[in-house]
Amino acid sequence: MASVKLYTIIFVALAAITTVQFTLEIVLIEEAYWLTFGIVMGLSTIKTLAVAGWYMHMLEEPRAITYIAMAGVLGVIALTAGAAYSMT
Amino acid sequence: MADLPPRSSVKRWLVTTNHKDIGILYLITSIFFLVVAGVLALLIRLQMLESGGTILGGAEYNQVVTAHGLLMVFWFLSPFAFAFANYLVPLQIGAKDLAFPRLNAMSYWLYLFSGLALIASFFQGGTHEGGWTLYAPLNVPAFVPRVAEMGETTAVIGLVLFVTSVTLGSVNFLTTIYRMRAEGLRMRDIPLFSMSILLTVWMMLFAFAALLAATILLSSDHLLATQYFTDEHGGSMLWAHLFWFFGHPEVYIVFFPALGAMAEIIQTFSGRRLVGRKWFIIAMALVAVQSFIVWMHHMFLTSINLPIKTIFMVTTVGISLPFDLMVFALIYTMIKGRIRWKTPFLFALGALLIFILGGITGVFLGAVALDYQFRGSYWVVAHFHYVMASGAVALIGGLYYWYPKITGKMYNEFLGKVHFVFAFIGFNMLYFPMFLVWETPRRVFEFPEGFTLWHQVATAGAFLFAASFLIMFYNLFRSLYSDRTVDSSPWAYTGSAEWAIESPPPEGNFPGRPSFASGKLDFVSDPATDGGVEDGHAATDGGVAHASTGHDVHMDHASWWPLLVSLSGLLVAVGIGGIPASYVLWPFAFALPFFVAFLGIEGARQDGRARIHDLYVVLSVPFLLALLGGFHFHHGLVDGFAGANNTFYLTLVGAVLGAYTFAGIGYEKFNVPEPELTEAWPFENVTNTKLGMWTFLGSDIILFGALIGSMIFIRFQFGWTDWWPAAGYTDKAVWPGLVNTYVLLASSFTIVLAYVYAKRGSRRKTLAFLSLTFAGAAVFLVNKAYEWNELYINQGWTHTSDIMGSTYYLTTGLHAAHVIVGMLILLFLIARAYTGAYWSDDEDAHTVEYFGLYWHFVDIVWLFLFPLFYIL
Repeated sequence: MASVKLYTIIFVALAAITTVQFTLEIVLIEEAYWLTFGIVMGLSTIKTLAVAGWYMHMLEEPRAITYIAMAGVLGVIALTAGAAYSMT
Repeated sequence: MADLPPRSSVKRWLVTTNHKDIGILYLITSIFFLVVAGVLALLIRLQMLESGGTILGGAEYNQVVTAHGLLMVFWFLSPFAFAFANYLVPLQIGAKDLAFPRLNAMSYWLYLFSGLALIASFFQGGTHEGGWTLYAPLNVPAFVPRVAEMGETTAVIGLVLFVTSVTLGSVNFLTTIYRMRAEGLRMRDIPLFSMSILLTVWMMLFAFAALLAATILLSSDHLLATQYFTDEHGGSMLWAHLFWFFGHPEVYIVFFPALGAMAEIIQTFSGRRLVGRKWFIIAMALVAVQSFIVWMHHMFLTSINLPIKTIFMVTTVGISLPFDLMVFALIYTMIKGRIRWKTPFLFALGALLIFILGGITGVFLGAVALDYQFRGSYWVVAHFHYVMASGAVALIGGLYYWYPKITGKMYNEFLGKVHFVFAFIGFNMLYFPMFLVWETPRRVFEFPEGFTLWHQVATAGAFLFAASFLIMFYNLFRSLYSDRTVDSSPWAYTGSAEWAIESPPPEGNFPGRPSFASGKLDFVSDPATDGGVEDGHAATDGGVAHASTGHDVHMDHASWWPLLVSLSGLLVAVGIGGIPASYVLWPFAFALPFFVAFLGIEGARQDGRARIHDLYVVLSVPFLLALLGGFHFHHGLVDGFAGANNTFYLTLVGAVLGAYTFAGIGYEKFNVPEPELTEAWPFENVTNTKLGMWTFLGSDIILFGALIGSMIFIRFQFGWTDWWPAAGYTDKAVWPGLVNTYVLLASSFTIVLAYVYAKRGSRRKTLAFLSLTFAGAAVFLVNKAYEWNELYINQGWTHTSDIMGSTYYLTTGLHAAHVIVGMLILLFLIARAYTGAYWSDDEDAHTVEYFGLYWHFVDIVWLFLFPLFYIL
């Protein structure tokens, strides 16, 4: 379990990243949709890793816990990517 | 186990959470569904006696075919295997029970009631008619006969209940096998049946989550009139992808336990250890992984592109290779051993032969060009019956094999062999002719006249196959009352732990703490708990061990709640299909204030009356009044209730009963102490509850991932950047999503702080941060309600306006439902923290952490909904 200070820093960082995502929607999406897409989804992934790693204490758990979650994520990617590609 | 009535009492079977009792309940119930589905099969074969049969009308034939498939695949095959899993896995790994006994009982009752819901659907105008695959668009109301709409919906909701049962069971078995193995029992050394169950529940955990996503979307199309599976931009293909992503692993989910049983039986009756045991296990694990990358071979005749067909042809051929290894391992074990031709062995061998034929004919279907010919023909019917029913045949062998262990009595060997002969001949008479007349079109009862003789042979085989089971029922029933008692093991060369204890096993399972630390199974009498016995080892080497039982701690309990919770699910399932769309959500809304009131009442009963309990009861009244006000606004209070039909009230009763029972099960004192001195690799430093929560979340990742993936899939077909411009709203603001992201992140922060201060023993701060988390969730919902009001009411953009509306409202709505569930749990946590829980006990504080895992997951889901539904 991390300190209250670290939890607070993570919260502030998560809120800041969210603000960046919102700002991108205003300033960049019209000019460069797919660049915005990549950055916004990448930032959501970073936020997810922060929540899972510190708030859910995944960093402190046995690595096998991470593998369970990763198995689920891989399943979703396989299903979504495979299904979407199959129709191209 | 003082609180469990004797087995002669009916009450015992209603309240039991003991794994052996639950196993027996699964066994009897799955055989009941076998008989129902078997009678439906005989009706199909009678219809097929000649082309254009007249026993059944067209619609009735379609319903019979569909229900036969659904009942056999879902309600017989897997549950039959899990009867043995429930009974045997704890015994084989040296555990006293499953990790979560109440959850296990709930799995069983949900299973039973889900099956009854499906059967009830026959009497609600007719059940589903589109085959067990429920292909779109024949699965949506627009393509269903109006008279059968309610029955169709009930069948789908029954499936949702069944998947819920399976998910609970998967979490339970995974936690048990990983965390509760006897000292010294390494993962690689667990018996092959338990190993097969472990791999099966891994597949179940992920595959059934995809089916749950599919059935939730389908339920929504039925109940709320969303447009997922009627959408012209790949709606039908979406169903096919979701269904077969589940459906192909399902083949191995059904077959793996049978494979494990076969391996155990062949080892015992060959008198030698399985040849290549390590490679056999690796091959099974490989198949479990590969099973998730072959699903599109069921879709070669759809509009998927040629490159993906080629890829999936290769993966399909690839998955047959590990099976070759397993089959050769079984054959070579028999060749190297001295076979004893007992009934269980005959069934195992018969199953292997049947499976080989089923497997080979399946490879034909994996080849794109051949599949173009065979798909939709009786080749497919014959092939999958050879595969699926081979699993059933192997498990019948398992029933004979473990019958003496479960009952303490030996069956009649002669009758067992007669059963095998009739069953084997009947099975092959039934299904082999289907290969010969494979050009018969599937799912219809018209075929060329030249095929008639072979179909009549198949029908005769069906009746012979069915009759053979009458011999089994007679044999097993009579043997129960015979004097052929058995001791620990009636078989020579058994190796797993269940054969080292008396038959049937005592309620505490073992005469001491099982331990493999010495390299063989011992039952240890721990000095710390039995009054100081120094040397309590009792060698077993096949016989019954007699060691002191002074250390036994009762961990099984009786509980009415699993039955009652599941009963509420049944009432909802059979009622909801008849409710008009505008009424559907109201029964669940009305259940919420009742839940709050029940929390107060049960809390006062269990924890002693406190102000928080009074507050809950008092607040539930204005909450209910507010909802009645909302109902009045929507339908008119008097007119609304007067105009609601009986199914509305049935669903309302089910929902309120659910509210009562969830409050009850939450407050029930039900301690299941985690055993010490167990093998828990690779989860040594996590508790059972935490591992259970994580495995559940693993499944939930697939569930929400599939829901989000469904939107992505349709949006791809639609044109990614054309998506929102084509939606029917005038202006959809980003800021509600932004605010809700801040709010949810803040609530994740506060729930972490609640855990921190619970660990530090601060009552005030624990309560404060739990309450702040609740407040954050409330703000989230208020903001969402404002946003939905703007879009839905003011701009007229509804969930039925277009596919964007369907995906937006349903996906964010299901997320909101998760938030509401979290708030209900928070109310429970707040009340318990108020009366002394969590902050006064360091271990107890982990309950807040476990809830936090769920809450953070809900947060993470939103982190992807925000960009996908608001920004991009």
